[in-house]
Amino acid sequence: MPETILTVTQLKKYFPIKSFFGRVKNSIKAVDGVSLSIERGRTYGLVGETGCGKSTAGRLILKLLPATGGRIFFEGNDITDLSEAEMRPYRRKMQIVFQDPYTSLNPCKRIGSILQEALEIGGVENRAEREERAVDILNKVGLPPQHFYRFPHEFSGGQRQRIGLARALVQNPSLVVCDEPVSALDVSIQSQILNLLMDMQREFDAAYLFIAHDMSVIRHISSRVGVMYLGVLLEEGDTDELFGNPAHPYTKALLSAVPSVKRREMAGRAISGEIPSPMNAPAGCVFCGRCPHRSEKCEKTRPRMRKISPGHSAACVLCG
Amino acid sequence: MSDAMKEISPVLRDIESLKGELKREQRKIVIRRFLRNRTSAAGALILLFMLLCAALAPAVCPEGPYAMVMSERLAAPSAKHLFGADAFGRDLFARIMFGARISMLIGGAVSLASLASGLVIGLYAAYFRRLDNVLMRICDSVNAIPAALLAIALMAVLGASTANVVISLSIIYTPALARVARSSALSVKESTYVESMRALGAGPGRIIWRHILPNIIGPVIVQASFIFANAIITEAALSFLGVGVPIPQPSWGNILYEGKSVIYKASWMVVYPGAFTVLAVLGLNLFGDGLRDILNPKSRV
Amino acid sequence: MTAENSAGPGGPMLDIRGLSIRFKTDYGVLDVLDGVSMRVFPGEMTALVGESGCGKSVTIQSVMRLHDEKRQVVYDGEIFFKGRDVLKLTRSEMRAIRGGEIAMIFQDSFSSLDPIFRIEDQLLECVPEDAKRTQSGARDYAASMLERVGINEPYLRLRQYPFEMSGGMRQRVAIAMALSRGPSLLLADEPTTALDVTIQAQVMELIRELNRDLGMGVILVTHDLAVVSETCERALVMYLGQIVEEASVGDMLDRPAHPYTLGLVRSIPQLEGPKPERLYAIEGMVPLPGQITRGCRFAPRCRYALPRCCEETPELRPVQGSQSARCWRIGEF
Repeated sequence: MPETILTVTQLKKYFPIKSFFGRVKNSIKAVDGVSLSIERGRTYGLVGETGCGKSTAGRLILKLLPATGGRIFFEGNDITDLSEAEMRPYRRKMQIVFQDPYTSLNPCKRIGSILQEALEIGGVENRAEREERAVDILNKVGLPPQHFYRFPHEFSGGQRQRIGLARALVQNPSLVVCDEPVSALDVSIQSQILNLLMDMQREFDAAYLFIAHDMSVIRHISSRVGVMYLGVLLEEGDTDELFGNPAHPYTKALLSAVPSVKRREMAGRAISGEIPSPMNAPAGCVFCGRCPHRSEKCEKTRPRMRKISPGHSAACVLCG
Repeated sequence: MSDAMKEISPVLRDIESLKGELKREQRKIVIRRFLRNRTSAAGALILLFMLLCAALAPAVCPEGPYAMVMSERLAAPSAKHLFGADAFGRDLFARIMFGARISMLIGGAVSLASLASGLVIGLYAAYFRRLDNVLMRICDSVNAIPAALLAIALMAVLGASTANVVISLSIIYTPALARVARSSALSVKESTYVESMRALGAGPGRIIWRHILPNIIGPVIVQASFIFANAIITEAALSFLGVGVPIPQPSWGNILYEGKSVIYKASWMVVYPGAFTVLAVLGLNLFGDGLRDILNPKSRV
Repeated sequence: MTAENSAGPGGPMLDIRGLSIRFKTDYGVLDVLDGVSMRVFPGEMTALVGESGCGKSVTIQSVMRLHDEKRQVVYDGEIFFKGRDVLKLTRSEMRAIRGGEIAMIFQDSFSSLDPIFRIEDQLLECVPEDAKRTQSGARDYAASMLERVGINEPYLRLRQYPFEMSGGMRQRVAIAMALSRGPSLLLADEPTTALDVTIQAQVMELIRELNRDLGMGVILVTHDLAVVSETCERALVMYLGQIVEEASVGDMLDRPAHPYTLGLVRSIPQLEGPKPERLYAIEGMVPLPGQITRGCRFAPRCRYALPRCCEETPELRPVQGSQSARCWRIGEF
C-alpha cells in the first residue's frame, strides 16, 4: 500500500454574511465537511458543477484560505493550525496549477525568473543550481530553453499551462492541486496537457488532487474520484467502480448529462432544476431539491457516507 | 555580470545573448510607440523645453534673476529685455528662466515624494486589510480639506521657504497617489499569480514589492505626472498669495503676484509667467495621457 | 442572379458561397476566412466545429453582418438567405432580417442581456407589433415566450434583473428573446460553453426541440464534438479560416476523413470503454493568422503530412456520399 500523502477530515469553510452593523446574519457553506485522502503518485479526482466548493476545498488544503473546521494532515503532520511562517517548509512540497493560464503568470516576469523565483523562495541558494533546474524543468514540460527569457504574453494558452505546471513541479513537490488545469484550453491542446500531467506524475511520483467539472477528463486521469455537490461529498470511489456502478442519484444524473460522441440522440435525460445557492442549502440531503427519488426523510436529515462495497461509498438513504 | 556569466550553465550561456537582444528590442518598441503617439510626443517636447529652460537659465542669462537696472523699471518687451522688465528693473526673461528651475524642482520633488509615500501607503493598505481602514481614513481626512486651504495652513505653520513648499505639497498630494496605488493593487492582489506566489510560500514583502508593484506602476506613474502639473499650479497659487517661495527668489507664482499691481501698466508681467505655467501644465498633462495609453497593459500586444 | 439560387421548397434557406473575409488591423490585413461555403436547410441543425480562432464565429457573424464594415472588414463571396444576397442588402433591409428572420444567441448570456434593465423591458422590445397594441397583450406574449423556453413563474421572472438569475436561466431568456419574432434561422454561438453539464443538457434539449417543432434551421457553433454528435445532422469542421471537412455527423464521427477531424475525435477522453494509456494528441498549436504557411494549413501539425502537403494547397474534395474533406491523402489512413 503506497504512502498516504494527504488526509483531510471534516474540512469546512463557511463564509460569513454580515449585516450592516457587522453581525453575522448567515453563512455560505462553501465546503461542509469533506474528508478524503490521497496516496503518493496517485490522482484523486474531485468533480462537481459550478459552485460546489471543489476549488475552495483545493485552496483550503493548501492553506491558501483558512479553514473553518476540520483537520489537514500532510505527510503525517497536522498542518491545520500552522502559521504562514511555519508553513514555509511545507509549501515547497505542495503546489498548485491554476485554471486560467492567462492570469496565473505575472505578466511582468520572464519565464526563467518565474521558475527561478519559485526555487529561490523554496530555499535553493545557489544561482547556478537554480538556473540549471529551471532550464531542466522547462525542457521536461516540452518547452525549449529559447523561451527562458520570454514574457508570458508571448505564449499560447497551452504553452502557458506548461509553464504553470513547470512552476509547480520545479521544486519536486509531493502533492499538486490541479484546479481545472485543462478546462480553459482548446480540445486539441487539452489532450496534450493531460498527457503531460500524467507523464510528469510518473516522473516526479507526485500525488495529484485533480479538480474538474468534466467527467470524462476526471475518469481518464484519476485513480479515485469524489463527487461534490453544494459543499458536500456525495459519492466517492475508485474510478472504475464509480463510473461502472454509480450509486448516488446525483452521480447518475451527472453521468447521463455528459454528452458523448458515441450517442447520436439526446435521450431526454436531463435532470430538471438548478443548483441552489450555497446560502440556502437544504437542511437534509443537499441534492433533495432535484432528486427524482426524494422522500420526506431526505428533506429532514443529511445522510452520512456509507460503504457500498470496498473503496466505494455514497451519502444517500437509498445506498448501502 | 562577468562573474555571474561564469557560473551559469552552458545552455543558458547560449541564450544569454538572446536576453540582451530581447531587452533592446522591447525598449525600441516602447520608444517607437511613445513617439508614434502624438499626444505623448507633444507633451514630451514641451516638458523637454521646460527642462532645458531650467537647465540653461544660467547660461542664457549670465547676469542672473536679481540684477536690477533702476532706469529700466517696467520696461516694455524689447530686444534687450525679451519679455520686458519688472518694477525693480529686473529682466523678466531671466526671472522666468530661473523661475522654471523652481517650478521644475518643486514639481519634480513633490511628485517623487508623493510617489514614494503614496506607493508605500497604497500598497500596504491594499495588502493588509487591517491597515487599510486606518491609512485610508487618514488619507480621507487630508482630502476633506480643500487643497489650497490646507497648503496655506501648512505653510503658515512651517514658514515660507522652497523646502517647506515641497513638504506641504507632498502631504497634500500623497493621498491621491495612494488611492490610485491602492485600487490598482487591490485588483492585482486578487489575481491568480499573486495567489501562486502565496502557494510557493512567498512573504508579503516579496509579493508587494516584486510582484504587485511592477503591475501597478503604469497608472501610478501617470498619476505622478498629473501631480507634477498640479504642484506647479499650487506652488504658483501659494506664491501668488505670498506664502510660497519667498521673494526675491523668482517663481512663476510670485512674478504673477508682483505683476498683479501693475497689470494695466505692464501686462507682460502677467502674460509671460502665466503663459509658461499654462504651457508647462499642458505639456505634463499631455505627457501623462500619452503615458497612460502606452503603459496600459491592455494596449500591449 | 437571385431566382436560380433556389429559395424554393427543398432548397437551402442559407447558402454561403466562397465567403472570404479579411480584417484590416493596425498590423496589416489578416485573412480570417478563406472560401467558406455552407448550406443550411429548413429544420436542419448544422454544426460548425473548430477551436478558438478558426473563424467559426466570424462566419455566422457575417451572416448577420455584425462586423464594423466601414473600417475593418472586406467581404468576398455571397451569402444567400432565402434567395437574397445578405451582403448586398441595405442597412434597413439588414435590420429587418436581424432579430426578425435570423436570430442569434451567444455564449455569454450575461453580457448579451443588459444588466440595468428588467427582463420584461428587454423582452418587450422584441415583441412583435401586433401583440404590442395593448400593454397586457405584450406582457402576456412575453410571458408565453418565457414559458415556451421552460421558465416557471414567467410573470415573476419578467420583473427580475439578469443578475438575479442563474446562467442557465439567462441563456433561456436570451433564447426567448431570439425566438420572439419567429425566426426561421437561429445562429447559436457556443450557447452552452459557459454552462454546467446538467444545465447544458437542458438548454441543448430546448434548442433541439425548437428546431424540431418550429422547423427552424439552426447553426450550432461549438468546439464540443460530443454535443454535435447528440444534436446535429450535418457538421462542418473549420481550421484556420477554412472548412477542412464537411459530412453528416454520423460519417464524420465514425470515419473522419481529415486528419484534423480524426485528431479531434480521438483526443476526447471517453466515459465508457477501456481507458487508453495516453490520449491521442494533435501536436503543436494553432498558428496565428499571420503565420499561415504555404500548402495545407494543417500540414505543420499533421502526423500524416507528405512533402506535397507543405507545397500545394488541397481543395475540398468529395470522399463518399455527401462527405468531403480538404486533404491530399483522403482514404489513406
